[in-house]
Amino acid sequence: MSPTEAMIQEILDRSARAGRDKLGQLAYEMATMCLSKVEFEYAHLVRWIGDTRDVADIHRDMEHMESRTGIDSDMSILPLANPASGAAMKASRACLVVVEGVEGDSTRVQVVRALLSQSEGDLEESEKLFTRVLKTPLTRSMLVHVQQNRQATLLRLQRYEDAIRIGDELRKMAGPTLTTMFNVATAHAWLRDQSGFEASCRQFSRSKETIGDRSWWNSVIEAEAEWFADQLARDPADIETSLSLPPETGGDA
Amino acid sequence: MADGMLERVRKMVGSRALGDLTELDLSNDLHVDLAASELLKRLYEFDDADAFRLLVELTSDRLAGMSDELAAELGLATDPYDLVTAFFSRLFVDIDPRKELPLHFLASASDRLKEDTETAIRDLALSDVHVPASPTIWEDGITEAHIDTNELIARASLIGFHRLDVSFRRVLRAKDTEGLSASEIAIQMGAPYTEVEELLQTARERLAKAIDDALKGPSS
Repeated sequence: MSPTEAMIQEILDRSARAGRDKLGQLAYEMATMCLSKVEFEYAHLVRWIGDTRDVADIHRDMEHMESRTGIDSDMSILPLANPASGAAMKASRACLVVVEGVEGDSTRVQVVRALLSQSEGDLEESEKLFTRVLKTPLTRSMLVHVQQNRQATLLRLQRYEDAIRIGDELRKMAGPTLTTMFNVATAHAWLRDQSGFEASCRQFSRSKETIGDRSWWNSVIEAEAEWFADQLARDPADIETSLSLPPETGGDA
Repeated sequence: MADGMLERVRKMVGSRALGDLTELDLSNDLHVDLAASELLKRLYEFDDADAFRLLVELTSDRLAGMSDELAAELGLATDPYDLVTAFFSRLFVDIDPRKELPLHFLASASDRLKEDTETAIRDLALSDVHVPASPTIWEDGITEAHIDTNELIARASLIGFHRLDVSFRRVLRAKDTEGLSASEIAIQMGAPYTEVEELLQTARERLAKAIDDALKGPSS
């Protein structure tokens, strides 16, 4: 094989791997999207960022990748549109089957399992799975994603100090992102720690994260203000002032 | 490589798409651009993996040449072919429906490769020697003592080098890698001898400081 032929083969092999990875990532995206539709009994926990794409869009992208890669990912079992809350768990499990079929027992598969356990209320199992995932090599964005969702599991397990500690680690690593700091603020509220809550609100409001859906975050803050106020014996309007989104141009932290 | 390529492209995209092209001269940018754009269009419109394969065969050599030149010009110490491979992988998985096809494939690829080369250099320059994946991992016991001293110095030197401005890197490479004298560099650069001497002196001082900074590690 000539050097040029070897290079071409290397390009084609790597592109095929990238295609498989993309297909797995899309199925994973669909799995988390479906999970975001599961009704959640604790309203004051933010588990998912607001920017999830519609299932139909993800489905279309998967069809493209299937054709390009020639991989049969058994898309027929996937939902074609956003599932209703009652069907969301089942739809997400179907997505898990597809992710697993495309990439085996990958990190993403393990994360979906942890998220499914979380949504099913099997929190000990969820924490066990998240902890196992964290022992594998992760990209920075996946590490943040896993730890943010693990924070939610820990909050429900009433392990508030652990959720705060993870928030500190995430803040040092990726800055004060909205989800991280909201989770930390929630932990402080559970602990009725006024100063900790205020400090995390300040970090939240100074986040430099690009906010895709401000109205989603505003609705979360508005919906949760009363619970925070109750926990901290404060006025809901006062809470909304503390927990305000950074200005459109980003914070000044 | 050009043998039979025109026929293969024509068979793939249809005769009409290639207009009155009667031969495919791979050194002619207009020829390559026309064929490449049609193949890319076919990939995006029909998810045709064979069109992608032909596109790689048609253009990878040219892109590898571009990448080589860019890496040499900008002082990238990693494998420039990696950038070409990464470029094609991205093309292959690009499914953004809003995307516009480039009018001139080679020019657009060149821009992208330049951007990627600069990013690779910036990433390397900005990365720290200690690079803990997370504070937890760092605290769990990976310390400087665990990194081989020679490896640490080699990495610090590389990082230090990449932290220099391009003009300093060029002059150091000319002197120390290519072995040119200051007068030869002056002729090559079209600059006065004294200016080259001064540039070399400053480049060495900056490099020493950059290596020192890189070696300071976690406490820096």
